[in-house]
Amino acid sequence: MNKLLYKISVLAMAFSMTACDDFLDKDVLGNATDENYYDTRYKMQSALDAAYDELQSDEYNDQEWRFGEAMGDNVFGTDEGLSSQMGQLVNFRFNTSNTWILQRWRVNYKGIHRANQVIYNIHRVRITNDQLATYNQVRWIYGQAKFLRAYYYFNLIKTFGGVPIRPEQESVDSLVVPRSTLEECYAYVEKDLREAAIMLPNVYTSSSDLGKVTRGAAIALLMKVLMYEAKPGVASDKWNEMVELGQYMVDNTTMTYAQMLKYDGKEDWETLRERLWFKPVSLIQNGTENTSEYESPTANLPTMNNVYSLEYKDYYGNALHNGDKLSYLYQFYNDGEFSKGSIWEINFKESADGTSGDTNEGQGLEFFNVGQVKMYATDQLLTNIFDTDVRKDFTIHHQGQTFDGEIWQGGEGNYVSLKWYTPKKDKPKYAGDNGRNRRVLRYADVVLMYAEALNECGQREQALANLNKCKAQVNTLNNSTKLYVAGGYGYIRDQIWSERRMEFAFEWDRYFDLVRQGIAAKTLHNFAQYRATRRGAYFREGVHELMPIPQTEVDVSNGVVKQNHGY
Amino acid sequence: MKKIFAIIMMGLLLVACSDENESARTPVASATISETELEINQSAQISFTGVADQVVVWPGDEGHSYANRKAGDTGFAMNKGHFSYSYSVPGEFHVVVVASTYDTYMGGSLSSDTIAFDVVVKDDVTTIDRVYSSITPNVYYAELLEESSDWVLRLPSKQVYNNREVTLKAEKQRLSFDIESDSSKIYVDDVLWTAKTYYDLTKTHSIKVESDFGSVRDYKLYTLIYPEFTSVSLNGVDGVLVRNAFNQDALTYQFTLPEGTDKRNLTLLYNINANVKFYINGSEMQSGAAIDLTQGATYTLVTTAPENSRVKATSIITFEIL
Repeated sequence: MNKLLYKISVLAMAFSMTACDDFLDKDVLGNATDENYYDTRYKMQSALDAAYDELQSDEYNDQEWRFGEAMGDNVFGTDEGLSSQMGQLVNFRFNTSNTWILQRWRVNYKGIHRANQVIYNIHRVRITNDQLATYNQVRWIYGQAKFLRAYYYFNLIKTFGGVPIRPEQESVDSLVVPRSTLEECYAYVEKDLREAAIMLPNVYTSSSDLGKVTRGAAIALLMKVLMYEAKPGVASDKWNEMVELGQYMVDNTTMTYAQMLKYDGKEDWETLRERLWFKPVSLIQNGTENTSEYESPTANLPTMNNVYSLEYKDYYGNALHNGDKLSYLYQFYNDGEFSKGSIWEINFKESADGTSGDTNEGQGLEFFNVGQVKMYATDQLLTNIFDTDVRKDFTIHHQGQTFDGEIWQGGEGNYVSLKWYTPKKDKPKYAGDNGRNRRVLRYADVVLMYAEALNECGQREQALANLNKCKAQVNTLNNSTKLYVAGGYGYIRDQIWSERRMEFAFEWDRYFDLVRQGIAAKTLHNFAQYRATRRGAYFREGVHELMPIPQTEVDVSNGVVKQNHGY
Repeated sequence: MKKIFAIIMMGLLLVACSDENESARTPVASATISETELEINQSAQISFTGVADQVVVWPGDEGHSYANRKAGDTGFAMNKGHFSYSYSVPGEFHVVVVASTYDTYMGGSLSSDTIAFDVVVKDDVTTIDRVYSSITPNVYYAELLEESSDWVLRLPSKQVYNNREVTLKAEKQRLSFDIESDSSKIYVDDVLWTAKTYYDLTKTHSIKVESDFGSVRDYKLYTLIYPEFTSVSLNGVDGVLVRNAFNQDALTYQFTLPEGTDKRNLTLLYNINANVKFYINGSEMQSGAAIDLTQGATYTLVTTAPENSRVKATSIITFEIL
């Protein structure tokens, strides 16, 4: 009897579990999944913030100055001994497992992954009205993500050559991605930037949008990408395209949507508009295209008139530091943030006094003192390049008092960069109560890139005119009349390169500029003759222009990700 | 029963804690190398196939010689059995792969086995990438002669610098060569080239590049001066040459003609050197012919090298009526 009761109760339990099936199968309400999370532009903005956030991290900025500045010939550092990974890097005595090379690879792919989240999921956004402003807001988020992805990829390309292009939606089936060719990578980056250039506004009207990527930033980066694709002295469509973009950015000429995109008609224009979150034509005044809300391929982009300027003025158009000599320097300080000379900035230092309260906080970059490492200007930069140029006084500091009375005693012969100095008035009273922006793209860069492209295209007179626009602005500091002079192709080019070196000294771009100019080996070998450590002597032409793919990437991919030549 | 169970458990514990690597394994150095004949900067892959706790590779070049290991030279630890390396200088290198094993007690009982490869690195670069002459303020780049490996360097007789005309002494200028090897030797007219030597750039030079491997390649460097009129006049009025600071091959001749002169029918008289010809839209034009300056034609002066009719220097001429 007991056995019978036992069997009955087991059966009853089994039936009751079956009966609970519907209850258990009910969807859990309020659960966010990758399928439904990105349904509003606010959530998208949050995802975009994450893509920007990587740029503010120490891990990002740490590798930026190591590669962009420390490996070049503008500076010497206090960490150049061969016993450290950093010393091995700057001496070109590293192996494929170098920590900093791996870090550069990883942080940029982290940024790409975050930008991809926005790009892949943007189609999931649901909007509640058909207002043009609503479409604009979503499109601007999308455009910024495209810019950021292009920026991160460009960092990788100029460091490693062709790299794996990650799928926008990562899955376990596609963990290992082989390297794309250099041309494929550049085409990918160009497409993102061209689309971003038509999607983004010239300026944001709200002050809360300050710092967001604009059309000008996309075009400036596109010009830089094209410049890296082209070779000095070799005729190329890339130089011609740079001239067109320079005319638009500097000479305020017009440019159509189709010209910016290099639109070939393969993708239906309306499909393209909807893909990029322009307001669908069907929703514009009963479907008419003849309104200000419709962008046709032949319509002109808004001109860049009065958007940027070489003048040393603040965001509101007022002369920096009352227009005196220090106005040049104040471009790089808080007063000069988002000025018309600044195209794109990265907020990299949340506390200007160098104290570190969280992992995103920059550390002690004042006087170009990077953490425990210090970098000083080399004699060659001081004497051969700056010579008597007035910017030397406002770019480099030596022993004693700074212009605002701060005492700095770094040792005889040690010259530090004032671009990374924090003026006394900007110093925070409390840790974390101040920010500091790094200028990544400046208008002066655009003008000089334009000048270089003009020279490469045989338009030397116009090249010199643009080069002298920059020089004339510098001359306002000391009322000098000294300008660059006419010459042949090589002379104009060398003058542009010399001006680039002075104007962008200590802005973390020197090393890559040397490589793309094709003079890294010659310059660094020459530099080695003046250094007791012979830093630069081991740069191997034909090899070190590209860093090795990090060994772990080659290993985990089982050789699918191929190593660069010579490593 | 409980005691027996406890003893069994303790025994199992002891077995579990035993160190299988207490005594070192016998190392076996076994490895393969992808290639033993390499070019400069060409990577060689070494794969370790033996038995070792640690593998170190000594590539044999400066600072990494196994023979000098006690004098401060260093090897490279191999990661996951794979190692790649390339050489920056030519030579024969003795690559040594050291396989080591040791026991787990403070790394004692270190045993090693070695395997070696002899690698030959050739530097066989004889290709000139670029030839140029830096003459303040300009840099003059030679061009490759079409369907040939010979170079042509064209110079002006004068260049404009700071709004002044400066004579360019082509007879005494330095030459620069870009070549992707530090080991290759360049000879100009059979004399070893140096960056500080002056060369006569009004003459053709024979260039020889000898690689470290021993290969030799011969080139010619033709040098020409952009042609000019020795004298030129329009309707009897002499022209004044105005040079272009940006383009050394662009020459403008200015003429102060009487007001009302018919620009459609001007008599051009000129003198040029023997190896120079004057062309209008590609057709040769003799001195004394009439020209029409309203037609926007292209005027050129062309010098041809006496040794090779394919080697030319072309000046683009503009006639300007003041």
